[in-house]
Amino acid sequence: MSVTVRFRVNGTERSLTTDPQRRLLDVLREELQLTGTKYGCGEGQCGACLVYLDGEPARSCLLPVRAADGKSVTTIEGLARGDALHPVQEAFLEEGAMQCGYCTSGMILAAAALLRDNPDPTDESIVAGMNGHLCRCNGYGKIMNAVRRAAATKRAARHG
Amino acid sequence: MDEPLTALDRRAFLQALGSGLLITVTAPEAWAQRREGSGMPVSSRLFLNEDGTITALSGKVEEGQGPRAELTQAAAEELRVPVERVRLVMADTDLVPDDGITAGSRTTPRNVPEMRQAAATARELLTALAARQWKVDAATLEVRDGVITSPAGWTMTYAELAKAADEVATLDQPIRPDVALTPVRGWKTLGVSVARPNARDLVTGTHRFPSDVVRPGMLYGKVLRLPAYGATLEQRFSQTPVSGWSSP
Repeated sequence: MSVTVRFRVNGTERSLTTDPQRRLLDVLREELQLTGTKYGCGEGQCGACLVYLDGEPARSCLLPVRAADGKSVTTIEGLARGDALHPVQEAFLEEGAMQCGYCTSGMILAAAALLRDNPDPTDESIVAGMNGHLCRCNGYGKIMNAVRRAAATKRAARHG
Repeated sequence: MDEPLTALDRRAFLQALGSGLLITVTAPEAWAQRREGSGMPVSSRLFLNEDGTITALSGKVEEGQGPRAELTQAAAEELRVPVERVRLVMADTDLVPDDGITAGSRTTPRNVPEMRQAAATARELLTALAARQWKVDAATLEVRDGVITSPAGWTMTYAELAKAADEVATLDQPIRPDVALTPVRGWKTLGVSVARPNARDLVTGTHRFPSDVVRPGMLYGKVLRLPAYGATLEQRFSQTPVSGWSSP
């Protein structure tokens, strides 16, 4: 059985007819060619598939596409504003906070949401906020540095 | 691809990479299909582009440890150009030499020297070409930042040489395993921390990993593990790709 699902992806209205139980992850990657969202474990344990659903972090491997009906989805491809990278993306670049880069999309989206909700995080709250994201290259040190750097950048911007 | 690409197909592919007009043609034989060996032409590893960039080719795969950066640095070091001017193509078997598998920590000890030899040979051949045009001794010429300079102050860029007809034959000469490599104390690019060449693609989600590539008619395989000892498979499944999947 197919249903028609309508949702907004990175600011663009999308409508497609598909199995309502199909994973949002698969629809993003296979129908919309938004392959920046990664399939890691497929069971919500690694965070590689993180997207925002109505602005809140959500694991797209656990979401049936019908759960996104009428909602707004943001993927890593939708985080930058044109050529202007999000401060967290800039910070990951500056710190070289990736090895293979497979977990990077989820890491960046998680960090951006973390800093939005907690602009001055302690190291403990960064770890707590990012804990659900696995980096198999074990590049956590630089990822921590990147999140700290992004927080400092945003702090500087606030205080002008 | 079922058939090895011809030299001209390969050239067309490289042009499609968008790094400027390529004027170097490959050796008549399909080096991309061969195990490396003696006598490989420089053009199996390096192309000069008219915009001054250099395309370098490696059969190795990036698994996260940074060979994309390292091999790019190796080519840039020996060609004496800034690292941003080298575009590395990895693992596309239609284009790259057969460098064997990516395993056993062999890329650094084996392929970095191979890339350096190719780039150093290219630099020597191009310097010799400039020396012939200027009728001077090649040993008196210096290369810096992709510019060949004579003691009298004449200069020629790689980009200008790339437009010279002789350059085609020049880079079809074999890589010299005994070519003098830049000594460590003279390194400007190797041994220096550089950003991953594709870092921006990684943070914007646009880098294509193997699992992001869809080829026409691509099939998927999966290992099925039997739930009990001695169990046998009752049914085989096959599925055609879901509609809407398409080639990138």
